Amino acid sequence: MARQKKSVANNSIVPQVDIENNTITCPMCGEAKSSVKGASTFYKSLSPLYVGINLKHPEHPWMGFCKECVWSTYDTYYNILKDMKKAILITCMKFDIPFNEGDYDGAMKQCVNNQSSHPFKIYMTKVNSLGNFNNSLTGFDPKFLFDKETGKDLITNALELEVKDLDYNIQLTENDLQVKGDVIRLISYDPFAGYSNFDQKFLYNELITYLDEDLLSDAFKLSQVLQLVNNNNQIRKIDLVISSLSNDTKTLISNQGDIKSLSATKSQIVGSTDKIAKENSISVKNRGDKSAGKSTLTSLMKEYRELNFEEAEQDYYDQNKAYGMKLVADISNRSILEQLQLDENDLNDILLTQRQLLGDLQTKIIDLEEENRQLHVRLGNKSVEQVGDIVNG
Amino acid sequence: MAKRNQGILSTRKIELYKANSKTIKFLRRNPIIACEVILGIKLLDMQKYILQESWNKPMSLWACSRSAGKSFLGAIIIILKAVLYENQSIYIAAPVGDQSKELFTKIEEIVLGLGKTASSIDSLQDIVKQETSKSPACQTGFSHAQSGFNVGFYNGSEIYSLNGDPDNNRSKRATLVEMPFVVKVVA
Repeated sequence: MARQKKSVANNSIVPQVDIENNTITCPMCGEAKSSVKGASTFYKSLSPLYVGINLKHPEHPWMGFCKECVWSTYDTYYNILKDMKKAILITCMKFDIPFNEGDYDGAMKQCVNNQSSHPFKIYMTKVNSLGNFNNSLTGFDPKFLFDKETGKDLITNALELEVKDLDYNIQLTENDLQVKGDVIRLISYDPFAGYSNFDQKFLYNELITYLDEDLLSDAFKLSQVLQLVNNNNQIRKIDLVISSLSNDTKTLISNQGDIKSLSATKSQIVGSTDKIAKENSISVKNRGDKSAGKSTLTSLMKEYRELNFEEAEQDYYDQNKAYGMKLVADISNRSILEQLQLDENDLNDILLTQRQLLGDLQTKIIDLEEENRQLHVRLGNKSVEQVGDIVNG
Repeated sequence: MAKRNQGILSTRKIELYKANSKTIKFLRRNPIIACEVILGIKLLDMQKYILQESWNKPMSLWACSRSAGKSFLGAIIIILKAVLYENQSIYIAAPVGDQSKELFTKIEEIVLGLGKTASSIDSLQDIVKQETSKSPACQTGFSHAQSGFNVGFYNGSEIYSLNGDPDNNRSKRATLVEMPFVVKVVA
């Protein structure tokens, strides 16, 4: 990347324009170069420093310093700093060329694909492209030079600010740790060992919702679900970065290239996630056992009873003790009392029946109380473990 | 019923299942609320009273005037019993086959949201529609064989209509038998 610097001595500090010979003398290398072939020798510039350095088209003046000297200046700074961005920035300052973050990023991407081209040459092509000659731009922001944080690559910066901060602030709560424990208990290993808290919080909580009997008995499907959860985590991070790169209109416009590339990556991951869900019948839409009515009230009811959930059992005692039942029983009794017109014989019969019922019920109560007492005695003789076994069936 | 071990569940799922079980228990205890929540039907006070009073009784006899909503309420009880309890075998028996078909059709209209019965209830829900066992041959879950109509649910409950004289339809084990139009009162 570094190029050989020309060592030409010259005392002049401003470009010399020779009207008679149609030449411009570069103050750095001292060579008089033809201004007729200006575009191949000099960069165009709208800087007030170069006013008048184009005899043919004064509205588009040349920079006055030849291209080779500009490139060699960049090389000099690059050799000292070993930092492409800073070298470009200082070269821009030196020749009054604006520094544009978007153009710089674009140039860097092009450099990756075309490593033989000179970085500053590519940058200048970007800055002057589409008639957008330099200095018609807003100029450079000195904070790029002095502020270490903002001087970083935008994506890296956004990631570091958001993710690092989140990771620092996010702690796994007791609930999260329980979910993590459940995941390890159910699949017998920690699938997200080594991930940050920021990732783990999301990954375990997302994975736990997929873990059921069917999944645990299908090793391949489990691996696919793990991949799916990982994909979703990546999508979430991309969304986070896009959100920080587009938090206001100005940032959105200057970062549209990065946002576009992040969106493309996101689309690829979403595509892969969809494919996993479809091929492994993971989502409700693609579920293979639709006819079994999974997740419906009645199938859940059946499942709960199979899994021994006490509350799901039919409990007529509980139902008869319900407030609603008591309410209707009271209404019923009240209306019966209001309607009753009994004669003496009826009352005698009622009294007799009541006495018989009372006797029967009292005997029943005594029997039940005795049974209850005996059970308490038996429980008292058992150890805590045995009682636990009896209670748990 | 084969019992399974809760150990295959995560703590979160166990908590969720417990909460859902409580909801089911609550609905079984309060059929009027179940009627409003699951079916989306708001009953009259008189109908509420009949529903709650008949809910857990081994036998109940309704003596109501014409157009009191006996069949409608009967249909509701049958649906709620089938949905809220497992493995129910509910039979609709009438002296004439057409009468039991009539009640079965009423149930079908409420569940599928079709016909006159459904169109008269603005707040009707389609929750039970998702609960019927469906097959490629029977997309709604309601089959209409000549011998008797039938619908099944995922919890094993089934509703049958006996399309003929109940005397000729013996040896069937039922958890609930509803007999519409049994008594004819002659003034």
